[in-house]
Amino acid sequence: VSPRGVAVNRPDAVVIGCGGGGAVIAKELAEAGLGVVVLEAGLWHEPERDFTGLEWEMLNGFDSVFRWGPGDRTAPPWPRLREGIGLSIQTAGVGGNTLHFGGNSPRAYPESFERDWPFPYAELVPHYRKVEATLPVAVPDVASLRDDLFIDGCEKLGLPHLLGPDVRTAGWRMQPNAILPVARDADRLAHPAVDGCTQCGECLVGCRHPAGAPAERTAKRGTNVTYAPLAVATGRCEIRTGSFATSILTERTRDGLRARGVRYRDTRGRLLEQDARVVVLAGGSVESPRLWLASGLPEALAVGGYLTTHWPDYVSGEFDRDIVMFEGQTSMVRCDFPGLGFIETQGLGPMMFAVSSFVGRRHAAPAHPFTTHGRLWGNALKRKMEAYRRTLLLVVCVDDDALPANGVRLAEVLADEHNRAPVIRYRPNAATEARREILVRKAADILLAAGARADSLHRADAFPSTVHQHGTLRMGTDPSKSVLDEAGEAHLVKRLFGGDTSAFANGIGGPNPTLTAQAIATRTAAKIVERYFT
Amino acid sequence: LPAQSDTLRALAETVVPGPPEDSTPGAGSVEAERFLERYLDAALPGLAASVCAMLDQMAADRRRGATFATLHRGDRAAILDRLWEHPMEELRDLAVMLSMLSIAAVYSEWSGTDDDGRLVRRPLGWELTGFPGPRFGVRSLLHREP
Repeated sequence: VSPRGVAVNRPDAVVIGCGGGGAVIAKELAEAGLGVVVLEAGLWHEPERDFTGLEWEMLNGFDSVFRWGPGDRTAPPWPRLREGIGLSIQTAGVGGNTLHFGGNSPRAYPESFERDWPFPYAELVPHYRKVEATLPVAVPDVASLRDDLFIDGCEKLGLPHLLGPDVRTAGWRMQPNAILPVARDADRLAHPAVDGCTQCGECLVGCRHPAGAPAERTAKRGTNVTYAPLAVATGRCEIRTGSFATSILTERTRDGLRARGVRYRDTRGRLLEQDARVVVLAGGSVESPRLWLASGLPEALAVGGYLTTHWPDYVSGEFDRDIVMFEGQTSMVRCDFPGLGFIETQGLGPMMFAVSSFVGRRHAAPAHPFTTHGRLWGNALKRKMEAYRRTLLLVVCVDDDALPANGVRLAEVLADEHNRAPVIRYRPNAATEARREILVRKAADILLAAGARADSLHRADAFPSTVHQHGTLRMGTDPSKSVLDEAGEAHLVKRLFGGDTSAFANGIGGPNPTLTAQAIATRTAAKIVERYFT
Repeated sequence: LPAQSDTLRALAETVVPGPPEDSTPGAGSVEAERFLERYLDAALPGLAASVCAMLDQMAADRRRGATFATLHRGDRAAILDRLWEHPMEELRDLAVMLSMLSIAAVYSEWSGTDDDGRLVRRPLGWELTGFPGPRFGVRSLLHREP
């Protein structure tokens, strides 16, 4: 265990998980004057030392740097069961899933807040602004070849160019990315000669550039290089790595049940307890409800339910010249369709491209306009991979319905050293599937308009995954349909708050979830101070 | 075990074929069977042996006396198709994992690494796709006009 930050022995708040949301709430609470302890299951990596840019070493589910498992990579990963889910993606370590996200940081579609959410979109806007300034989020002023083609396709279809962060109508725009601005006109690619993004294309396998840069100046703004160091810099926050929360501790008072601390296991296997005046759950939309259930907290109807995933799909087309999808930030342009979801470019390494595109549902024959559709093996796969440099790849994310039966429960038998394993269930409804079909067709139209060969279109029809995951401890006013109240505090357990995407009331319309989780974490931090520390 | 290696190699070649079924090198050229064995057993100790036994049983059911490795590619693919669409979700998941591992053996960096995981040569998948591998940055993109 290597605690980072000054020792905080009697914290006001203990935060479980130092990922995209937990690091934010820790920094905000510490800046407000609270003593904070963050319990993080994984390590705090040094980007330049620990990230290699190699796909298998960084991303595989067994023994990679970014897997969900103990920091000792010779130990097995933490298991989970899946129902209807292809890939379950979680990352242990300071930064959590922001270690391997693409940095895409759009706001939610405002219309999504008109259903389900217990507060209006406008209330979140100042918190968005604060996060966007802190990370910071930058809109690139220059695209890569891949992104230029996408823009060309959108414009030929008459889709307007959207300006501004609040999206209410369909159109394309440059990606708001949590990535330092592109280092323009640099001839050397090492720090300090260059400061900013070098367009190396390695966002998803762990940003470590510019070479020689201190961690806080690596280009992609995961919370490992932004909010976590800022939290520690307050002098009031301690991040305990290798610390896996095994139980939320509660006590009964005249006002009902309330959280009083957390039991956790350190890397030496010791079970320790940390008392605090408030507890924040921020382990992600799988681990947060798992911990709730494993702690024996009240099994309210909505606990573990209403999981949304955006059920991504991958659509690609080949051109007669090099596209080099792997050059540039993973995605620098997007097309939004409020009411349906969104489409964005995607630059993947060859392994991720193959696994994303060719390991989908099996179809006997392709559906128009695709010439190949679903799972692909053999000679056809080889030819597709030979066209890798000439392929433009798009990701489709759907505004999927939040359903009570989708989510997380505890396995009957399977367990790790901490608790019973989670069972992650996701089965989309017909309305979600219909929206996805419309978006996939729009993606094909963009590819064709951009000049992709008509006889080359491929659709993965990917299995559901938890690349995006939200909603398993959702916010709301009705305790029968939500777990957290409008401030992010549990209806049934006082002083217990949510600080990650599990607090989402719905899938925010489809956009990438990280920025919204961070804005809500910022808002929840203010609510915690208001309720218990003023 | 030679028989287990033959089965896993035939499995990986079904997904990513090399000569004589394809004009360029495939899973057999990188000894994908070692990769599959290692990571199947990492998923669940003994899984590699169980998978091979199951595939051989399915092969024998299809053609008397056959093993999975002795079947023609079409028959092997048909067996994997049965798993892919099996009523039991666990077997469908297994088919997906076998496919992903076969692809990763060829198209990840694994075939270019030594036993300690260090990159010591260009992996086959990078040669087949024209992927340059990790880079410090892309100068041409830093000089583009907005």
